Amino acid sequence: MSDLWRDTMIAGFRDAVMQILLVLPRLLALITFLLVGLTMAWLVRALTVRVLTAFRFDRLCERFGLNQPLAQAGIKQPASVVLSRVLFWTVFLLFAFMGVDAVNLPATANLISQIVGFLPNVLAAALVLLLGVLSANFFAEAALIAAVNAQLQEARIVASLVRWGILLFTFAMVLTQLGIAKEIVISAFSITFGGVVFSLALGVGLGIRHLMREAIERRLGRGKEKEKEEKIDELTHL
Amino acid sequence: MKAPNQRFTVIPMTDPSVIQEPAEDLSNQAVTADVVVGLLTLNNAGTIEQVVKGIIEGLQRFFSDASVMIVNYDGGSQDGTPEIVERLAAGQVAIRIVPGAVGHYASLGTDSGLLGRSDDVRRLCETAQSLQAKVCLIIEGNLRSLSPQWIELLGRPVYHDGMDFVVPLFRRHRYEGTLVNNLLYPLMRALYGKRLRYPSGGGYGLSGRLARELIKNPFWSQDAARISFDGWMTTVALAEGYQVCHAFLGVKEQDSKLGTADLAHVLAAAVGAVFHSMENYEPAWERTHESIDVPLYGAVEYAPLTGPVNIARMVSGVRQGVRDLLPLWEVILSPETLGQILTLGIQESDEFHFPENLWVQVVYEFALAYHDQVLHREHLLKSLTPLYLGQTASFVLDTQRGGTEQVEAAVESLCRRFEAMKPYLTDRWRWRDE
Repeated sequence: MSDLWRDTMIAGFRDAVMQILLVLPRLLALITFLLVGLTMAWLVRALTVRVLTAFRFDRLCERFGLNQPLAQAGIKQPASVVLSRVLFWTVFLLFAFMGVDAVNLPATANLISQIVGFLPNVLAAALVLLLGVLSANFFAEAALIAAVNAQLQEARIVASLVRWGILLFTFAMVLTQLGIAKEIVISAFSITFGGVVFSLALGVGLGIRHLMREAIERRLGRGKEKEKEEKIDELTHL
Repeated sequence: MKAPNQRFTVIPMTDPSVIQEPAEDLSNQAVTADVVVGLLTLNNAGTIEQVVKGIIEGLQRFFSDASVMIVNYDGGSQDGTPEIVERLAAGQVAIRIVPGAVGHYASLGTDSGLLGRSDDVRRLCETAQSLQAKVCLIIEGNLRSLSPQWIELLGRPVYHDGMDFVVPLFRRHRYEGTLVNNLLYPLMRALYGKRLRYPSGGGYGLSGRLARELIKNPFWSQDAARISFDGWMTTVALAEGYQVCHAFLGVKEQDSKLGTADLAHVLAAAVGAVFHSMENYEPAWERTHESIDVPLYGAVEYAPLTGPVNIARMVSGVRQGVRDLLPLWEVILSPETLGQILTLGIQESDEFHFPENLWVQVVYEFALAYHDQVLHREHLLKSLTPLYLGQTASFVLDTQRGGTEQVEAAVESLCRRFEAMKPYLTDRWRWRDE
């Protein structure tokens, strides 16, 4: 009885030691990957900040109106800092995933290959998002200035409509690119976009039909006389 | 009046060799002309007869001892304009017709003058250089009021008095050209030190020397030349130290087919050209500290003001700007300036006042922001429109009880303020560049 108990204990201990000896290098590999990842990420962040500062990236972002949406999203840091942080975490996570893959857990098998396979979609989505946000800001700004100069009292509403129209379109494209609820996104976007366009058409048709008529008349040259009659300002600018 | 060479008497527009014949080819034919008139046309059949007759008579009367040539740059008229030019000039004066000229003509007929015709003016300058011309006149084909005296007034200062650039003055009422009065003239005077009252006109006299300078100017293809060619040409003449003068031509009546562009567009083009040139001519304007008068040919007359000026609409424009464009102005203007701008939004229309100091600060800070590219440049320039309306409203309110003299005194006062506050611009410009 005691021999059997002793043999069982020794076998169990030997198996446990064997298991530990088997896992230990993987754990060491994980820790090494994490440490190297941290170092690499820190280097990439420092280098990014230096390069972006040299190229006056923050001023460029300000010019393209990228700082405004960042501020609205509660991010107070300059765009160069934000970008360097994103790169820091991207590099660190890549190394972390390599470490997790090295541990060879059944639950995380092929993790890195799956991530690498999905990476092009993420990059494309990020690019679409960036271009979408930039376009939304640019065209909203242009619409706001044009509407203010035309003395439209609803200038800010016009600018918001332009901004959110482009952002809505962008978000739909990003989600489609990432393959997240593709069918639902396409259906939801089609319904929303169609609804907005229909509402606008109805609004324009009913609300400002006299303005549209005058604009068309002016375009056709019929409103020139009327315009002349209405012109009461003697001031010219050039 | 001498014809320069019989080969150039008339070149039919149907001659295919003319279409792409470069101006340099003229030099091979050993032809010279003292006076070259560049006639820019596009569908001007209604006005061209009077224009060509005026030019020919002017050349015959005032340049009888000189060899002359008319070069017609036509943008592809469909109404037979070049044929009319050819018929009228036949046997009278040497003429060269360049059909299908290379400029783009979408903007012809707008207030912006030679916009879109820079390529034609460049070819004209090249032709003038090839012909070793002493005088080069630029005339638009849609001028209904052109008289032979115009040719004399634009050409004589160059031909006889050694001037390089003659800019026309026209009979205007006191509130005509408020953008010039409140911004372009004071700013250009403070920058380049010449009191050129109207920097652009719609017809010019150039010396051969200036024509050569324009050809070799490296900034020809840049934005400044593209967006406001007149303003750019004037800036080159001022910044490069050429002899500039004004000639009073009287009434200007123009056959405008395409209507006028909106204010924001006009302002962005005119002010953008000046701001853009500031980058190219930084050493020239930084070393200028005072201004001098330019010679004037003819006696200036003013037209009476015949109608009202809508001040309420201008004040409403500036109020809306304060309400809606504040986020953009925060990027462009300093906090101190912005704080003063905010008070404009609460003033009554009848008592609206835009302080001179504040307006000068605004213009200089917009120039600095344009230099720093803090916003897309066209957005930046167009966002100046409400503030300009505010300044104009204030200007009209301050001067409406007086006459032309009071308007001129107000302009002079503003110019002096621009000159006095120029260190505000130069100090910040240098500081930002460091």
